[in-house]
Amino acid sequence: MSEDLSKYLESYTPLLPDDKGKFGKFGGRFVPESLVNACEQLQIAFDKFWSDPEFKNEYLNLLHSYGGRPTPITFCGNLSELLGIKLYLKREDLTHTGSHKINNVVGQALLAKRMGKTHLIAETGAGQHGVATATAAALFGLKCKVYMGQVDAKRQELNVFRMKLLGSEVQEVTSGSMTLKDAVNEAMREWVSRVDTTHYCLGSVMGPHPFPYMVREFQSILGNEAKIQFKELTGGDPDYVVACVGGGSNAAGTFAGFINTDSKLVGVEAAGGAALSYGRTGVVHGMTSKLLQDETGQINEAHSISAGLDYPGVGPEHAYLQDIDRASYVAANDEEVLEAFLMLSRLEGIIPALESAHGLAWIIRAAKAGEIPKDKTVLLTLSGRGDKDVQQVLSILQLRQDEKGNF
Amino acid sequence: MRLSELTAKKTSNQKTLIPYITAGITDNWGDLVLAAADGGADAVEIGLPFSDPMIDGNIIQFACKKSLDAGYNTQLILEGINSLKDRVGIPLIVMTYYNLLFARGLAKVAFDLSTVGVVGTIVPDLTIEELDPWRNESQANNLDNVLLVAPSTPSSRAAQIANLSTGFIYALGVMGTTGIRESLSQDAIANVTKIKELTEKPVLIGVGVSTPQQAQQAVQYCDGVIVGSALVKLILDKSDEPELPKFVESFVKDYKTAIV
Ligand SMILES: Cc1ncc(COP(=O)(O)O)c(C=O)c1O
Repeated sequence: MSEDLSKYLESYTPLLPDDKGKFGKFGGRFVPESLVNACEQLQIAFDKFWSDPEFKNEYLNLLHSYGGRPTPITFCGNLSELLGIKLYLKREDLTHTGSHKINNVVGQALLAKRMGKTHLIAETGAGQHGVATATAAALFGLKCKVYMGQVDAKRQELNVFRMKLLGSEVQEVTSGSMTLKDAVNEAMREWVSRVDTTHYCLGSVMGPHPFPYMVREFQSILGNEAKIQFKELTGGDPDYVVACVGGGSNAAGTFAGFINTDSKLVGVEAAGGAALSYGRTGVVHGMTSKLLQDETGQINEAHSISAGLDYPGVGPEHAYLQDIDRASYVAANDEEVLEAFLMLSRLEGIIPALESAHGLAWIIRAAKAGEIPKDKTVLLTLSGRGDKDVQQVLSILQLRQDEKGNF
Repeated sequence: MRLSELTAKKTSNQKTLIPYITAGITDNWGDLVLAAADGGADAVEIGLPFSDPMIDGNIIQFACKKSLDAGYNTQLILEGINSLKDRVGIPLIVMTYYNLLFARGLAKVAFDLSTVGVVGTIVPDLTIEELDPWRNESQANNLDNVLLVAPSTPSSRAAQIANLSTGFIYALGVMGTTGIRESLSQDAIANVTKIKELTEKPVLIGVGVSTPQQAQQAVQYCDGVIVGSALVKLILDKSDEPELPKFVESFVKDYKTAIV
């Protein structure tokens, strides 16, 4: 009954950043001097524990017994027939708390505990990472405070309540644009002043080194499981591996499993937050990456149907994979995302998170346009379930229903 | 005058006072810089506002947002500084985040800053590991690079920073963001004491010096202070008053009196 997840990581060879924490010219550590020591300590602790079999076992056992891993791969027969491709989903929606975020927070909370920290702080946009952090904090007996832009806290009231139920404090952020990017700033500021007791549990593959690398490693179980499962299922690697990209953690974890294969890697951003498609290189939140910004270097806000993708930057590893042409990045707009959300619900009985629906939206468009040729195999990471989004989708659909209530 | 000359001409018991003002905080911000000079400032630190000021607390965040909302940008601020250059009589230092320099192009912005009379920069999110490109452009354009040392910076690293810093060394007075504090922290004293043992260069405490008394206490241990949030708060509170430059002048005078 107990399954040993370590077999999935046995043949994993990770892409390593250089000694400055860079992937090519992206990444690094652009933080106030007061945070340098904390980042270094974290890097040392992570390197030590991540190569310690005992730590890794404890982490993987928790992901199994608490997190629900391994998650299955599901073949989507109905959508495949409709699109003329073979579509498979990696089911992160079936994990505890309902998204891939759990993989990262269990790792970071365990690390925080080993480092002797008593408090976690985190930023959150949609609230998924906040809920996951609050969950891990409850499990490990850590005090937890989650920073959330006031605008997002209003949009995601239920997740605010969930975090409180789990015993966390939720701090509404009223600076700047009052969204995710400002929550990151505020969490960083708080970290500076409480660095002795507090670990900053960053939610994606972004921020200063070692976060982009560390979070990707904690998410790599996702892609490594998928690679082995897919091979067992089909005998080969997928032709296409697709994931949505906000900060880029589910995509980075997915791509980690396939980086050394011939699979085409495709990251799908929200059209209103497409740092890789429309951004320019710059420095914010401790890293060099592609950013949405004006000519003078002020950071723009991102806007899309899914709060979880509303981030004006992106993890540096993705900027690098784009730069070296190993992965390609595309954007999906709100309208096609909503369509994809409905299709997966109706044709496969799976209500996806709006974030994950971005990946499907691109697949549908590309399959119809012949950009993905007939009969190709496509693996999509379904990063989360859609429960958190049904209220928002309802309010959008109500605007366009007919007299009979059909939409 | 370069920063090194400013500090070199002082005898050991003369202390340096550098007020910080966010450019564009009011439309007459240039007059406020002049007023600070009249009040006895030895140099002024001019902040170029950034949308995501990571090391700044509420007060300076608000000032940055106000300036950006009023339409200020790097170009306008450079023009503003240029109009002060022949009148101000003391060195002007620019404090900003790296992305603003990066976006304009390091070579171009170093040249522009130098052209409008700026003598050095403070870029708090640029660590020594990433400093080289900006340091090269700064050197090519005669700009000082004032670097920060935090209370958490170990001595070995502080020595490296002190070695690379030109003009003076900026000792962070708190583990935290800019903002007003009730008292001068033990961290501040420990930090400057640590740095003083490592270098002959002047060391100034910035962040967490919010009253003339705290400034007076601070200079027992170091060569001067940078006063930011307390002054910015005064400017924000009195931004509609025609007498604002006078308030700034007397604010600076109070600190100056306290530290001589
Ligand atoms: C379900 C889901 N998918 C994706 C994301 C985007 O994050 P990332 O790009 O780091 O995977 C989020 C973020 O909140 C999310 O909740």
